[in-house]
Amino acid sequence: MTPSFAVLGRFLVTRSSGPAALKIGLPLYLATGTCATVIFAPSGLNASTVVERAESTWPARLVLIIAWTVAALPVVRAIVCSEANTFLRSLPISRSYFVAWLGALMLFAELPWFVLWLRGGGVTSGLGAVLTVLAVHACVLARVRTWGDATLVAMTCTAWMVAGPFARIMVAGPTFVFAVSRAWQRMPERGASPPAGGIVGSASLALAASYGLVMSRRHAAALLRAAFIIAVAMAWTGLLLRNDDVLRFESKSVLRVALSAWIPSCILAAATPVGPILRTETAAEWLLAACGITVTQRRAATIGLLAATGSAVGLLAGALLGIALGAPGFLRFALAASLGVTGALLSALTEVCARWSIREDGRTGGRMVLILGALIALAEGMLWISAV
Amino acid sequence: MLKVTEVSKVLGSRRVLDRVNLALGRGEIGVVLGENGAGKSTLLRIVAGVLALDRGDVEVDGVSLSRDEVKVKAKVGYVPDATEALPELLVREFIDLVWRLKRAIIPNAQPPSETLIARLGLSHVWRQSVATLSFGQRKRMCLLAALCGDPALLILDEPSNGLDAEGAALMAEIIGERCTEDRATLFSTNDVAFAAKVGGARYRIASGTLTPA
Repeated sequence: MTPSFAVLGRFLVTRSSGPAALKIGLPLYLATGTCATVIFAPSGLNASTVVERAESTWPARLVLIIAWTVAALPVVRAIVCSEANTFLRSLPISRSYFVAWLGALMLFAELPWFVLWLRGGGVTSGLGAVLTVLAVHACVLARVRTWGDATLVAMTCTAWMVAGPFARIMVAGPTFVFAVSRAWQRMPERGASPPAGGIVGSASLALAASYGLVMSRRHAAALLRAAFIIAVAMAWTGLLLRNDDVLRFESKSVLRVALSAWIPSCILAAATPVGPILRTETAAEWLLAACGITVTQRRAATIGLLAATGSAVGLLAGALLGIALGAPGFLRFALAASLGVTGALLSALTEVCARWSIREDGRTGGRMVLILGALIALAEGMLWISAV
Repeated sequence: MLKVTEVSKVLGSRRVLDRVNLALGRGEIGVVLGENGAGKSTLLRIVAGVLALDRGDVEVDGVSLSRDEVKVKAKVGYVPDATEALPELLVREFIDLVWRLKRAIIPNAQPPSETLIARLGLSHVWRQSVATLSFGQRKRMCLLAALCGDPALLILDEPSNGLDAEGAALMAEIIGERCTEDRATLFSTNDVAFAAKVGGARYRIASGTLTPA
């Protein structure tokens, strides 16, 4: 091992990619751990069943890999595209060193996915699954530009969908190595400009719209992750109510169960974009100050954006849940309305907590975790008391 | 037009500005010179209302910054040295946002004209993402944003920094034109050639104090 290889590794792990990925990845791994505890409880599923089912039906396999790719993309992006790595590119260090270290860190980030397939299907299955998801992530980061890139992506996806674990290793392994190298090479390049979005209305509305555009363009993965959290919670609620006929036909019980799943998922989902939005506001501080934008207008923009999104998502989730359960008209309306209203309130409350936490703790946001945990516990406790 | 009275500012443990006084009349240009870290940007940020002052006061057109901050900001356009803000937006969206923000305090503010956009060389990047612009292009974009609402006082932090010769000449030309329209400009620079080309009253800032150069 040459000195620069070890020094580079130490820098990447302790100073640039490692801390950046840990900061973004911690909530993901906590959420994955919590989900896994519920799903793989002693009386629940086991890894073998999940892998067996995924291997036997391609839609399940596709949904699983899409879900993990979306969930882990921000972590992997933080590893490869950390701003602190930019200056390293000017140093006389072989690109193969970067590829080796970044590949190793990416593999570390995919550990939950690897462990699931390793435990469920053995070493070959685990390697096939982890190399496939690594190749897909690396291709996304490298941005598909040439026919060669597109062919590699197509081959990796085809291998995942139709071939066995050994073929997946043979295809995804070289693709991963090639794509990580490309991703590193193309890291400082900017993508093409997106189509224009609409910035309309008053100062607060225009500000909210611009935050929305920033979120959709730069933090799309975070938004998808938030949507994923809500989708999982609502799917769990739907399954629970479908399997329990007593609950299913009692309006109060349906609302209670739906809210008990909706409240934590809504708070967690709202907490995902609130950090990037507040960071965007901080970056534009000079502009807002120079334009004379008041604190009230700033708060109206961030709270308004989050509350409107929370309300819309709640309405949609409630309506879909009602339709999926085949609930009567009144219950459908009650579900949509209650989830919509709580969605707006909880999203706004999350923004208030985050702002307070950042003001008190700086960017560590330690209080945020405590407040949100307490908020979830309080809401669940109140629902439980009302049920008793 | 601009009256800076006894302004002091401490950043960390360092007194960056110590009882600074400055006055600019209508149609006048003020140039602040000084070494790196002397406090030029701090002074400009305070005058623009971006940074709070510890002591003293700033008046623009007879309105005190500490008494009516919003009214002062309606009269001021500011271009910072570092131009990082919302790089994910397109140039068009950024300017549209600034115009709408300024309209909140200047109800009759007009969006920038096509002529001005073309003059600043932004027509061909109008639908481009801010992140893809060069430093000089961002500087031009920020100048366009600062000119939204036709401010009586323009504050420019290192205006020639990052601009090509043509861009610097254009910047000097715009400052000169504003002079003839009775509008004041205050800028900081280390570019002696640029300062000489623009003209105006020169000040030097050192050890927290501002003196005529």
